[in-house]
Amino acid sequence: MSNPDAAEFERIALRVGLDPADHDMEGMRGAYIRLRELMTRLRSDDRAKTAEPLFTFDPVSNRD
Amino acid sequence: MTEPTDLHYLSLARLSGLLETREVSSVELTKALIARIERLDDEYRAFITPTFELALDMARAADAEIAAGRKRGALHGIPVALKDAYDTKAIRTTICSRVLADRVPSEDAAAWEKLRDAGAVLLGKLECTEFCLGGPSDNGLVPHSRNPWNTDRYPGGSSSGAGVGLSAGLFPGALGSDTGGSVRIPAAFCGIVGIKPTYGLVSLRGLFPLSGSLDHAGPMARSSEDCALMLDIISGHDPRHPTSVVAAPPGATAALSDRLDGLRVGYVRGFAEEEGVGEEPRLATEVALQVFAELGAEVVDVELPSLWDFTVCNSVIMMSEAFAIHEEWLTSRAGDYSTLTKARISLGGFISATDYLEAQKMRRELAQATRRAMDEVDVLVYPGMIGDPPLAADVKPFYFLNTPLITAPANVSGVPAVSTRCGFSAAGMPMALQVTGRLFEDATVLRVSHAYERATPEFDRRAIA
Repeated sequence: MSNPDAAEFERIALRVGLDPADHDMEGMRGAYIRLRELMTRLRSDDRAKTAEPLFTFDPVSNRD
Repeated sequence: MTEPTDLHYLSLARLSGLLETREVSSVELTKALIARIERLDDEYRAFITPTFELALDMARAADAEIAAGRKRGALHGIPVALKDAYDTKAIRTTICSRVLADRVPSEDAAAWEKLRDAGAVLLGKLECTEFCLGGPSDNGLVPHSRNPWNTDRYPGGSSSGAGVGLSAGLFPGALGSDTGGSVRIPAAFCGIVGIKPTYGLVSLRGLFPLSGSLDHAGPMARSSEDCALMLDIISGHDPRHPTSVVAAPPGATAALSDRLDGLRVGYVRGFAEEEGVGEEPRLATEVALQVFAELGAEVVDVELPSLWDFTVCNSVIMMSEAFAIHEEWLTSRAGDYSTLTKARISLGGFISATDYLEAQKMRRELAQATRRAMDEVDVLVYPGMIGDPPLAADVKPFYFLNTPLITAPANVSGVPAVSTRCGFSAAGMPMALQVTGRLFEDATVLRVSHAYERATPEFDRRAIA
């Protein structure tokens, strides 16, 4: 398997326990690759590595 | 005298008045709606578990109390229905899944507890997409409900039965839940009204979670006034649930007005012009902006981050949290999931802990950007949907990876958001706009959508007689 995305998919699918008998593996692989593309949006060079991940609706803790 | 056969499309507010004056009894109203459900629900399939005997018992009790001068409030004697994700004591609650097909809760969900204590009458539990995530599956526990405007088209999910039943005149109010748009999408596709309240305003206790940090419990009805009546009752602090905030009920009904003088409305043009958002919803929203101006509001353009940023943030958090709930069942009960739901939830297993945490960090930034935008305006307005409802047969498991989710921003930022009807597309399907507001200013959001509805009665068309 030369495609790194495909290899990564196989590795995670095994860990997640995806059974090819239960899933359209081609469809899942395509969805995973698209998800990977979309998730590049989550990263930001402007964000400190130590930025607080905990989200809360407390108006004080969410202040800029 | 209003004949019982005329009751099915009356508003909750109007019905409450008729009960108050005893022109109609709760039993008459309940019987009329049961007859309509029995006549129509084979076609529209809004209900999974009707509770007609219980409803008639509750209606008789309500009539007795009202006759004795002890009317509890606007919901007393009013028949409602609940998405099958709300726990109901001694009544089967399946979340439309085979995994929980025989589950009978021992307690009522907090929101239903409040409606029940207010005297509402339970007509039954409503179809929803499996575990509030799946779509119109062919191999789910029950067949999916069908959109009264066009039964081939998707009614929207996940609170599909609620949208369908309200549109078909089967009940005047319902409770749905909303993690990425599950109240507002069926509201938009079925031409009714739904509000996702501020996160934490309505207790989530007893609502089966899809994604706890994004889930919201919210009312659905055929008008913003009716949503306000329900929201005022179901809101309030619940010390038995950790996400419930200490906040007073919003006083939404008292804040309703036909005018919007002095309010500033921000149009999120970037959302309306995002790739994937159709021209018809954008134009319908822009026509609605003229109505807001005529009602006295000042309309200005407002910028927010890309709709895709909100969409991805919402999807990553939702799929991760859903997978955490279902991981064990996906292995031990794999055969009990529909194909579509199993695929969607399983994709959450491919998201790393780092990606999940980056999404939560991004969420804070998106919420802050939303708050900053609202420093200058009272509400934000943008389309309620990106186009006509797709054909139910065409809904694919991963459609949400290829189209922006225009309801996601309010889930990510937690702000209140209402979807209301704003006209009809060339295909004859309802169109919708969204109004969102500042955290805990749910009353303002409903005030704006109410005034708009009052100014546009031409959009109050019904799907069926």
